[in-house]
Amino acid sequence: MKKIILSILILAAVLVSILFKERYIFGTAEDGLIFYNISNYFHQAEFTWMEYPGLGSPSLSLIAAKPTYFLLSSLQQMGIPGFLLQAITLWFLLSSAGIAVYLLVLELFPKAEGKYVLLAVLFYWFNPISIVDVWNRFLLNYIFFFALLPVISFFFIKGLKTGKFFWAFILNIILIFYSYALSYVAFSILLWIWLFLITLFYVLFDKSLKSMISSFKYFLLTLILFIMVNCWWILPLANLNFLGGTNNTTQVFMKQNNLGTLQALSEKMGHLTDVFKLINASFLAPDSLGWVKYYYSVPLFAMQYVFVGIILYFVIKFRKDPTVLFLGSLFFTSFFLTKGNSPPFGEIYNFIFKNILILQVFRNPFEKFGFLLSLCAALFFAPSVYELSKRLQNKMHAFYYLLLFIVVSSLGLPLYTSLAFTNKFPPTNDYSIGYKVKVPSYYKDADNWLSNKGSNFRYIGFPLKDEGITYKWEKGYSGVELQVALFSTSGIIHKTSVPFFNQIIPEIESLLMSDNDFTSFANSLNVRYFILRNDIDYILRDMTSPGILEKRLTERAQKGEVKKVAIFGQVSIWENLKWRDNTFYAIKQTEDSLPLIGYEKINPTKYIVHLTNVNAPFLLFFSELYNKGWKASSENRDEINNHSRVNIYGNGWQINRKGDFDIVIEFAPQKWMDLGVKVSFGSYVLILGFLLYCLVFRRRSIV
Amino acid sequence: MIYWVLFLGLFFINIKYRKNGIYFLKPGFYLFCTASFISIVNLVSIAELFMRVSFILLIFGFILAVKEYRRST
Repeated sequence: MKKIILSILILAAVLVSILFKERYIFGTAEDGLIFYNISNYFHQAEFTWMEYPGLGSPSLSLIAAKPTYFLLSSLQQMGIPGFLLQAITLWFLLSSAGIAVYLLVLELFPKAEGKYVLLAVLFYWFNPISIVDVWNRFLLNYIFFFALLPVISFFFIKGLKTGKFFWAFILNIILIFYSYALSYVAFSILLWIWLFLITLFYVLFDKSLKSMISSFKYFLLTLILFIMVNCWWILPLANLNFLGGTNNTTQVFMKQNNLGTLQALSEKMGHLTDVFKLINASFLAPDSLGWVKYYYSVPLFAMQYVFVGIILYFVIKFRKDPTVLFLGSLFFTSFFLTKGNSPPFGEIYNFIFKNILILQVFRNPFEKFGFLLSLCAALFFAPSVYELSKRLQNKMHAFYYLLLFIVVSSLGLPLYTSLAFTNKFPPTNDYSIGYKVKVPSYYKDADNWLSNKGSNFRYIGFPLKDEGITYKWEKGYSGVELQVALFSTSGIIHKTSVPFFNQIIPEIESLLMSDNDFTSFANSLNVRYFILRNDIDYILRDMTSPGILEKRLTERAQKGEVKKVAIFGQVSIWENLKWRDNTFYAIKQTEDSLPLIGYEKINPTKYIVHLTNVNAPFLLFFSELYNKGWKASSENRDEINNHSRVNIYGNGWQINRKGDFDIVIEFAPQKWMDLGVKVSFGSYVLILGFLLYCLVFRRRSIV
Repeated sequence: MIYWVLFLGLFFINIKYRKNGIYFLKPGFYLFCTASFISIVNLVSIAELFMRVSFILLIFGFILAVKEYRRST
């Protein structure tokens, strides 16, 4: 066993070393460039409100990533380079996924030979679902979930089989290392659907009523412990989405035509001929790269059918074995869910999807349930090959090595050649670049310069268009805007679908190009600087040419509205000369003079506003994005109730009191997070205490 | 709808003739092999049809196999 585990660790290290041999950070798509500046991402997850991107928004489930960001940003601050941290993270995830698959196969099929089990590990790493949905998509929470799934399954099944509740405690302690996966709500739900299915099918093949009840108790205990140790993100998230319902974005998501999306995606990816091959049909397009076409070629297709055929043969042959029936039930259920609402029996998926609102996150079934199918197939693969090899008797070794060769040379090829880290969009379609990114040093200088100017303002980045961006660097980048990675200051740099904010963004560039007063508009957004970037592939992204924007800024500079204040490589910074700190300001309602306003920022979710010389009622404006979660209260904690949306995007409170006094502005869900942190911390201490007690006193009856 | 009819048909066949799971699993497997071959030679829509029927047979056979196991214990 030790040899195989060591082999997995070495194989994962070799794979990661190949990927990072050039010492570049990898980044693309929705993830941006996390490992370039992890601290900035940590700040987003630190509180329930993040000040950027845009005009701010609730952090939502991103809070679940806080421990991972904290650990990684601490290591980065100690001087460990980003690429090395990314390599170590990927090595940890690959290794832990591999070891968990290995242990899980041995737990389910103890007679399986070690080298055959290694085949299951390689199959889990390299199968087409993993290659496309994990490695090619290259989203960190997807990779974390890819590792989390076998790890959690191993501990959960171990607990079910032994009937010892001890494993539920271990499972929940280990979960913190993978909490990043839970920053995507769909994965939290998927995890519990999976654990429920495991319990259900385990119980189905259980003989005694007593152990059936015990299995359900074990499931419930695991769920309760999960909620307790994860209170730090579950409580604020529940408050935002359900208890208070202050999350505007979630409300928009629920109103979207999710059923239409499900239908379209199921039609595209839910064909049984594709699902049986574990193939994501949408990945192959006429303009796909060469390696994708090879990956979807006839020989590879035939091989995939052979792999699944071997598994089906094994299931049929050993249909009287309870383990095969248990895993087979999970396999066929995963299969059924992965195809979405495609025939046959797609009506069942449709019914559940339509009637359970929270399951609308599964509008792309292949992408989510594919993880389950991939794991089930990998778990079946080793014993299936082993049994088939036994039937072939003296050709046993040859058959094993042939399959090993096929899995490594064909399925694994895109991973260890880095082809999986390329895409059809420039510059990632260049095999020598792919997802490798090298950020020019002038961005660090520009960020430092902006940070030194304070934190009471925003900037606008030009050219400004949709969230997707392409940077023309030595090792360029294609994916979502890199605002969080590149700048520590809050700013407006791309369009989003966030309500209210989305009404303002389309106006910005057109106002700049017009003859209208632009600086007053910028002031209303508390914008002090304009950043002009000349290293963007604006033609590809159909954006305004930086040259045209620079000409317009120069014209406004001649009128005394703006001034070019700094140049860093391809980035120039222009100052709004009429800027004043508009984080808070008073809006006049009578002829009386306005009060003086000062404020202290405690953190992104709490401000204390000092008001002096208040002679008449006025409207207090706060420039973070409007959200019902923002609450104003006086020193004696009396809430000021008349909260409204002002100036399209901001928060306003009608203040009727006179004199000198303070007002506290807070984002209410933060209190839930503070409470959740205490509950989670207490739960961890209790669980660790219990585990220590078990280990010190060697309570075998418990362990 | 046709797949539900097929499933119900299998259900009634099973009630009448009391067949074991293997009677459905084996044809399901052979149909899977046939569908795979048809898919490889690029007759995708026919392959898909075969695959769906194969899936129904496999699911039905598997459910019967589970029932047999539960009855035997």
